[in-house]
Amino acid sequence: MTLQNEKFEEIVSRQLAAELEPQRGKALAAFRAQMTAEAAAPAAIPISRGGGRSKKMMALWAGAPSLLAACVAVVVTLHFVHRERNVSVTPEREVASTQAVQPSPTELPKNTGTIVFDGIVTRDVPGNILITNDHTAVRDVNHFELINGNQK
Amino acid sequence: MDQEVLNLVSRAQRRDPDAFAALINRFERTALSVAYAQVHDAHRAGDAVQEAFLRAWQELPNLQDLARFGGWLLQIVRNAAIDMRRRIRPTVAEFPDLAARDGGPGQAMEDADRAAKIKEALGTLDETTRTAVVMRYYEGLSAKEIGEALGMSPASIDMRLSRARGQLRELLAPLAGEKEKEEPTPKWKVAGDSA
Repeated sequence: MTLQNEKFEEIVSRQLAAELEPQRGKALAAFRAQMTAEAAAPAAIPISRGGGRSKKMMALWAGAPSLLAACVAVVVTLHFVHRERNVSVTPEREVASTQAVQPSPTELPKNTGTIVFDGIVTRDVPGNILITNDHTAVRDVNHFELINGNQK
Repeated sequence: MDQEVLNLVSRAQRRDPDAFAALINRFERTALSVAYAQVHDAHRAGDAVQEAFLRAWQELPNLQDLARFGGWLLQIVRNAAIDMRRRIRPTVAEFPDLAARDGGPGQAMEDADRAAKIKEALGTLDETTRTAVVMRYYEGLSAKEIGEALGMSPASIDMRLSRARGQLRELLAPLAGEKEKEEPTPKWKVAGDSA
């Protein structure tokens, strides 16, 4: 029985050694290869443990130009908005005398002319909008021409 | 853990690659035993051990108690082996190349059959006992050394080994009855290479 035990143990140990011994040296070779690769790699970007600090630096460098561009865009937009609000009065479009002539419905003017609405145009803003002196905004859309008393 | 190993761990923690290489040599067989007990395949065990040592090198600066290096390393090995077992499914590549073996296809088939029976018998043991058996029969460690590596008492290891021996003897009885091999008895006991 003792002989049988020894034989059994011998078989198991021989089998395990035959399988596992060829695997020895792989770990050391992999470790040496990694050390060589790390030594050969350029140390341009410092890698801190966990990568916390370098990630912050990367975020800062990537975010700064974007932030600057956003600030410039805001400043430019505000500048143009401010200019639009301070539109100067256009003297050419002021109507010196806008006392409307109330034409009689029966006596339509025979000549070609422009209908002038009651009110005094004081300011002109972009978009064909006229501001009258009673602060009413009027969009200048249509001109009506009268030819021989007929509206065209 | 002896003073020499502690010194090596301390140097390796200060990023001394030569010290870590010495630790690999020192613990490689134990690591292979632990991995093999998990994955049941020598090649995968080798891969798991390789991965585990690289992981250990990365994590070593975080190890607080240097005296716990052995247990800490074996836990990394065990986790790497479990990861590998989950990742890789069995393939036909696992079958041995019978024609390429010494002694011809007949001998190769006999070897493969014996290997399969031993694997199957080891597979019937629980994980801890299987690890202890591989450490004993591959690395030749004593119950005390196995207990230190696995965090168990020598008595507990002895009991497990005794029970495993009975179970394996029964399962592998046909192999033990084979004719005597001509080759000499292998020197599997590695003196002074214990964890």
